[in-house]
Amino acid sequence: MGRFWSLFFLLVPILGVATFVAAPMYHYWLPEDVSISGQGDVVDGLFYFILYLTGAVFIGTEVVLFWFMWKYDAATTKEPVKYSHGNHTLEIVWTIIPAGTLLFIAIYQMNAWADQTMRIPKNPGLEIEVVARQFEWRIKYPGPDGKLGTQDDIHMVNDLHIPKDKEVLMHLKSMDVLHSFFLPNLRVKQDAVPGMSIPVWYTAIKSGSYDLVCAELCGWGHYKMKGRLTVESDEDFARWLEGVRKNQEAEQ
Amino acid sequence: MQSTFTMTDTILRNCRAAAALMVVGLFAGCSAEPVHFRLNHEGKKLDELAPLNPGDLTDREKKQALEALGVTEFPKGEPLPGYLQARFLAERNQELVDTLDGLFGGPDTPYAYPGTGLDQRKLAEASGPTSSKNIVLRYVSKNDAGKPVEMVASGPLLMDGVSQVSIRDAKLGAILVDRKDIKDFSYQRGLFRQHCVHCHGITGDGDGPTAEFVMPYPRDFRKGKFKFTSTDTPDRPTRGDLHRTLMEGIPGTAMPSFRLLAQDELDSLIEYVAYLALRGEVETLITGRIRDNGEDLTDPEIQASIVSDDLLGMAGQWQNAEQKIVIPKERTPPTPEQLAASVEAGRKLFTSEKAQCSKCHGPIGSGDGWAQAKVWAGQPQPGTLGDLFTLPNELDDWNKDKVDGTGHIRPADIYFALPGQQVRPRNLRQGIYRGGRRPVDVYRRIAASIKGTAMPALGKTLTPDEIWNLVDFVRQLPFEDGSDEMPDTHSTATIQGQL
Amino acid sequence: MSTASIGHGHGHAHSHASGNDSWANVKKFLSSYVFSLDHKVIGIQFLFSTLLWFFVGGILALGIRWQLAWPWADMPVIGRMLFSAEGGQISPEFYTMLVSMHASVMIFFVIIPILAGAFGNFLIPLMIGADDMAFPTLNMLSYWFMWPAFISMTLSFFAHGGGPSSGWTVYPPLSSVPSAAPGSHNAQTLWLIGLTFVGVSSMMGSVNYLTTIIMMRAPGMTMFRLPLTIWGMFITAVLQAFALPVLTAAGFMQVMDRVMGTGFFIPEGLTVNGIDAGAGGGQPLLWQHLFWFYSHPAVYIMLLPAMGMVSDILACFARKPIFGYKPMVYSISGIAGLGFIVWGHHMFMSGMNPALGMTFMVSTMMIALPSAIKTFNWLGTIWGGKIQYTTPMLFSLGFLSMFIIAGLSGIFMAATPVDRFIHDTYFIVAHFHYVLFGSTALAVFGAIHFWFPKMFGRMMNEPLGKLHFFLTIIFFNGTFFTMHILGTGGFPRRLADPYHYETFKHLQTMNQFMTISAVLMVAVQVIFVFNFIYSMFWGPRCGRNPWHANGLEWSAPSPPGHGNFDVQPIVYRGPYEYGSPETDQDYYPQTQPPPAGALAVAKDHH
Repeated sequence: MGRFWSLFFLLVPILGVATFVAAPMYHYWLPEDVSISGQGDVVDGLFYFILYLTGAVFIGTEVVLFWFMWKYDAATTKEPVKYSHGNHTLEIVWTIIPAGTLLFIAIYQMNAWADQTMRIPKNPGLEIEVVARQFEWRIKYPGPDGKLGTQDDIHMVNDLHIPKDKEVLMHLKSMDVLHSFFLPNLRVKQDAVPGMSIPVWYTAIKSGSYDLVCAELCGWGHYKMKGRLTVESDEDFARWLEGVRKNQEAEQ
Repeated sequence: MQSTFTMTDTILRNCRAAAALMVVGLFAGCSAEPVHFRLNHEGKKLDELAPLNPGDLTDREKKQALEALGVTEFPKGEPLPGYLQARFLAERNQELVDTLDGLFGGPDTPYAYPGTGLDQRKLAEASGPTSSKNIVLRYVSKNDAGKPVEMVASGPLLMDGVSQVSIRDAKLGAILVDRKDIKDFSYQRGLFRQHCVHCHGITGDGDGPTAEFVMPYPRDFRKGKFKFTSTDTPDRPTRGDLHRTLMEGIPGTAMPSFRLLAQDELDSLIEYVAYLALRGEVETLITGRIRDNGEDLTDPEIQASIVSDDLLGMAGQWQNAEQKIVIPKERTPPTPEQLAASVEAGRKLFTSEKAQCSKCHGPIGSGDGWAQAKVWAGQPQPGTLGDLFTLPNELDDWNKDKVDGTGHIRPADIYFALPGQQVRPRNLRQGIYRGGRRPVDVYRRIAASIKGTAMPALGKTLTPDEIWNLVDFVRQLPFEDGSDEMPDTHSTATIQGQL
Repeated sequence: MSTASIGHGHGHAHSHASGNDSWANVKKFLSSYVFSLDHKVIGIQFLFSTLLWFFVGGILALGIRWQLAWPWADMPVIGRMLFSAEGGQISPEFYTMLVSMHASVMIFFVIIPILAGAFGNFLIPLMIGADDMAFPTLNMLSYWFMWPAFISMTLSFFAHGGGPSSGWTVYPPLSSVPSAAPGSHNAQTLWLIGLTFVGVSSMMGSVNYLTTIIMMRAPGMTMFRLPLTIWGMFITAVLQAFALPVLTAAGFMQVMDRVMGTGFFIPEGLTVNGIDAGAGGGQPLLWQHLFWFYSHPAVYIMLLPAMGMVSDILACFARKPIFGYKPMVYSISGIAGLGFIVWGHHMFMSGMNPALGMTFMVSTMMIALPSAIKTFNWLGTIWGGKIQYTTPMLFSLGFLSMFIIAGLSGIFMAATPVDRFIHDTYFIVAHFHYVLFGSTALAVFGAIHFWFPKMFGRMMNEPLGKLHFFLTIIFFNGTFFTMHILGTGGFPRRLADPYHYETFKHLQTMNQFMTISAVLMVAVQVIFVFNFIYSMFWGPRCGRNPWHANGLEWSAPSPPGHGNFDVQPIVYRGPYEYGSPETDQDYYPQTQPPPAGALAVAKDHH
């Protein structure tokens, strides 16, 4: 029976690796990244780094488990039990190496984190305000006066347009409960907290239409709190914004 | 690679279908009942005025009563036995349901009666279970007298080469229909149930599962009244009004924006809302016929009158709405000085006797006009113990009946599923415009009122220029000193420090 | 409970009332089986209650899986019962209630009580050689304090507006402002009250366990001769004692916000759904800090006892000592200690000061280290052994295999920039299900099989046990492994219908596969239930030590009577002396005196 169980446990690394290899081939994988270099690709790069590292450890340990289960099956092994209480050197080795690796991973990523959340851009191409609310996204662009918070601001709901290749600085707020602004294609996520205004910045480099998802449970309509991010050229964006502004000022 | 993907997909899909059938078959048990519209029992119920005295009975009812009792004459002056009353009530209700079904169909099988101006295809799209794969079809059936009659039903998608279709009819259940008897069919997508039922209810009565937890309640379509329209006070909304509401949502309420739906989906939903509203209004009229006039719905003359007067008459009002749009007076874009002058003029009008805005909206426009009036009159504040609704305006049309004799709001009871809810005048300093923030929208609120509420139509008492003054004043009010910082974020919440 | 389950002790006097016999019998029944002070009875009471709640939690999970596989399709059974007005389709707040209550039930009514309450209670006195817990009455109370929690949370399902629907994490303002969600009316208050009772029960238990382990060990049982199960329970009790008060206080604060109008977590001037949220001056983030300060140690509470039990079972069926006993003990302590300084990793995206993202990233990365050390030591334990593939061993090996996946997937989310993408996606769900089900629950199944003979004096059926293991682990992986893939795709949690987003539309097929797997996984548990119940009454009787294990509990009768041991146990060595050269047998019980002439000296290898 031991042979059977060992081989059964061998299925774990085999199927595990097979799943992770097959998934990207069938498009069950990371969404397309349309953010500028230094944003989404850093996240993806770190993800892959950890994936390969943990993958190697996974294969290693699971295969070792299989091997021990196979070799030391009581029904088939002839050797006497290795009456050992441990090995001091081995303990040190397998403490230091993982510790060093983990510490390295942690410190290596600090810069990326600072880039994402601590280094607020001073001169963004576009500054907007997004207020999350049960169950929609209310967006505000500065009007012709260039300042947010004045009467000529341009309001929009759910339909977020941004110009391509321009850094967007967004002030994220919430009107009622916790929400979370999640752009899968830009690898951006930030919780919106009522009472706080949290800066979020990103740059998109490919035109197209992408999902904006709420990623923090905010009530029964959490699932339908859908927004759409449209990335377009500067001219198209300006034209669209002007169209919205004109409609907003319509007197007829 | 591609073919493997499709193959796996197909296998999984078939496995899914098999497993689904297994699981569903295991648990679902008996066949599903189709969903029905709910009768409007708001206010006085049908049975309150059911005939109590034999003298009130019509000939038909007398005949039935005699048959039931097996007697030739009623004793004079004695009321009807309870079981007969209950039976008459049940029969009346059933006649009402049958009449409405015949005119409008059901939630899964909506029917656009010819002449009402409703689009059958759009209704079909909006109807049915979420993500439905059914069709709504009109087919010819024979009634009891052998005469061909048009019926509406829902059924599975029509496959080519199939000569008979098994459909589910609301009354007859599952039947087989020859393909040649099918007059036309439209695809069903379940849009209303997916997006709207949860708040507005399956009948559009504003009593979905979430309704009691939101403030204000979702709209009850059955009155045919909508608050934020482009038409004048007594008129129906246009399709464009409903479209604007869906696109923008209603800020400050639980009505979200559906801007991201496709245009055809929006059109179908709008059509369906109009359909539910029309149905609700016609239901009220027919109920009145039974309750107030004791009319007999099985009488062909009454039926014809219902169609021509009630149904087509009401539908005509909906169709006429397009002609009743309030168009603001055109003006050249004001210069900054002209704008400032207009704002000042509007400020004066706001507190003037002519417009009387501050009576409700308060002297600085923060929505506390009534509260202040009560304080000065020595009455308790709204929401405190002993608060009485001395101002009838505090309830809109949908909640007006929910006040008992002593002026207290009724809790939910047998007459009203939802307890009464107050309305409050808008705090204009917040920058929340439920009906839209465009100048034309604000103009229409002032000129053509917010239907069903205490906000009056000032279009007759004020000149167009004066209305524009008010519009300019109101629109800059959130940015004056004294308004909250960044007012139109709607969030005045603040936090000190950061954790 | 059968009369065979708990012996009434041999020779212990029970007062036989001479007068009213039936009343005396009732009192006897109540004091023996219902309000017993015997730790074994209390442990089994916990076991039965938690296994029942396991079933409830599983059904709730199936509801979630149904909706994710076939959104808005008529729900079986309850569709027509609850949602007839909408044609049988589930309402979105019901879905949020399902996710909230599935987690709440599993965490507070299943995993924590079964580890600490059931196994902790049953095993601690037996394994350390005591005759009962230090405070038997407190012990009994700690079980009965769970019942108000059971009742309160059950009532919350039926409250006006539906059950609690703010997640098990109950983040305010969603949870503390009633107008924010229908489920945040009375249901949430009832839930919080239930939570308080669970907290009190756990705190009582932890005080008991700490005192018992420190003060009531048999002679010769030094701390470093304790089985790792006890170390796991001991450190868990420390965690509970220090972390629970924070949660209980936070729960009180939220109840006060809801009921008394305070504003601990509500910002100034908040309006939700048109209704003023009440007094302000608070911060939603404060709740998150307080909650996670407890709930992160809580996840270790849900893991460490299982790790301990697995160590015992692995050593027993590998027939060799545990590899690196002291490093194992230090690792358990390290996990617990580090566990107090990593709570912020649940809040990387919360809007807290980003600098904290750095500090918590470091501590969270480091907490993977002790778990890794333990994994290597477990592998070292089976290396060179003579592995007997019994059901408990299979479950423990399954624990090991699944725990490797669980631990490694945790590293992704410890990396703050990566967490920016996978936070609140199914990657997280995959990770914690691999820890809680793939690791802890499998260990619990194994522990039940292992200590069932001691509890009930009968053996569970081996073939059925192996079949149960085989099918469970297959369907478990079928349900949860692909969640890693979903999470990589950004598939968010708690969404009633994720497929109207373009990004997630194509993931429905995978979800259907997972749902079918989940249904089968739940169905397969019937084998275990049948095995358990059948064996309790009709399983083959066994002696004291059917597994030839070393622990003190195996020297007591099966099942032990009141007072546990016939003779006062004296401990001569550690619990892992399998394959010792000092004896001919391949095991060497802790209480077996050494050969004549050789005193038991505490050597290096215990």
